[in-house]
Amino acid sequence: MAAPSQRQFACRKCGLALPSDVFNTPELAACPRCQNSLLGRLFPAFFAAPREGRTGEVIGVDDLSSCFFHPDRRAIVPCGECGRFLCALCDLEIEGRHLCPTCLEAGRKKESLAVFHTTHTRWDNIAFLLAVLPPVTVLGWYFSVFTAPASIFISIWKWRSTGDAIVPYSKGRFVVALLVSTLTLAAWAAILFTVFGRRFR
Amino acid sequence: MAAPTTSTYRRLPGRTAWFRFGASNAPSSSLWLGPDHLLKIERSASRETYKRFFYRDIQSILLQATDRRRILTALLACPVVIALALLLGQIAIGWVFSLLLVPFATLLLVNLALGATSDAVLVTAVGTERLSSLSRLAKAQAAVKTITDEVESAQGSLDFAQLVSRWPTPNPPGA
Repeated sequence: MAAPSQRQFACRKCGLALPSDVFNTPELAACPRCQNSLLGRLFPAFFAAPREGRTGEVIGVDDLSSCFFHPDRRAIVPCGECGRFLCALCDLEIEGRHLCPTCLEAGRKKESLAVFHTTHTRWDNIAFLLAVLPPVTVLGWYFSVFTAPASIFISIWKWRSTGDAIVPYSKGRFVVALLVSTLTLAAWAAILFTVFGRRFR
Repeated sequence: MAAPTTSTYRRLPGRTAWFRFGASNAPSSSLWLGPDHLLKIERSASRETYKRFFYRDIQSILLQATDRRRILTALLACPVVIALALLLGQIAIGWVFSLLLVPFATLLLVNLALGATSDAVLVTAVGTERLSSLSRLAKAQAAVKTITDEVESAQGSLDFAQLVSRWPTPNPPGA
């Protein structure tokens, strides 16, 4: 990517490199060439130079604490999780906590840090689709004898999963899935009873 | 194990357009304001994916009007006009076309009522992210204003003189 001061924005309609006066205007601006409406917002970070990485101060005096991972570097902070002393190079600040690379990796694997929570499986949608889709399709109806119990199982097993999402959602789809699956199974029971019930009478 | 919800999010207006050219299988997305970041949630049938954009890292947001509404209006108006013509022409099976008229006319009215369409991108130092939920200009403007307030409270606002002085020389119009 180009340096911040060299980057330009193009109008998506005519491709013109947009001038500075269309940015940070109080209302919609227009492209000077094609008059397409646009709203551009630029922030100080656009012109900021890239942040320099830290290297850690080399230890010169014996009575200073050294980094657990780099014994020749001066420790500046303990790890908020395991307490190991860390130099500026090893100090990783995440969500206001200072962590060492080992604890950060452990946090990433366990998703115990919210910032590493990047995906969430929508079990309610899966249960809902398993319950609703097969009965409404012609061939799917025959599979509903399998999908309906699966939907009920998922709904009960993952009932609490709605609270694990970053933005929690309702259990509405689980409820619908349970209702539809129960009705589907009831319909199957009625069909089987009608067909086979007479045979055993 | 999933992380517990540690912060509250506020949803920004806007939803992904159901009619997008060349991106029909793209997941729907929504934008949420967090305490120190903007959260983009992309939803597919079985999975949600989260992307965080910290206010201190956001460099720019660019919102531009598109022709999607006009094209969609034309596409929806065609079956409405045909159905109306056949209905008014008192053809024997004209009533069949009235069934066609209702859904298309409803979609047409909804499309017109929602207003102009737009595309928005968010720029950071490492990439450009399309904000597909900001697909209607009016709601997108409101959302951009809210995001701008949050970013400016984290970074400060950009002085116009500074913007002009450091701006790269644009190509002259018509070049």
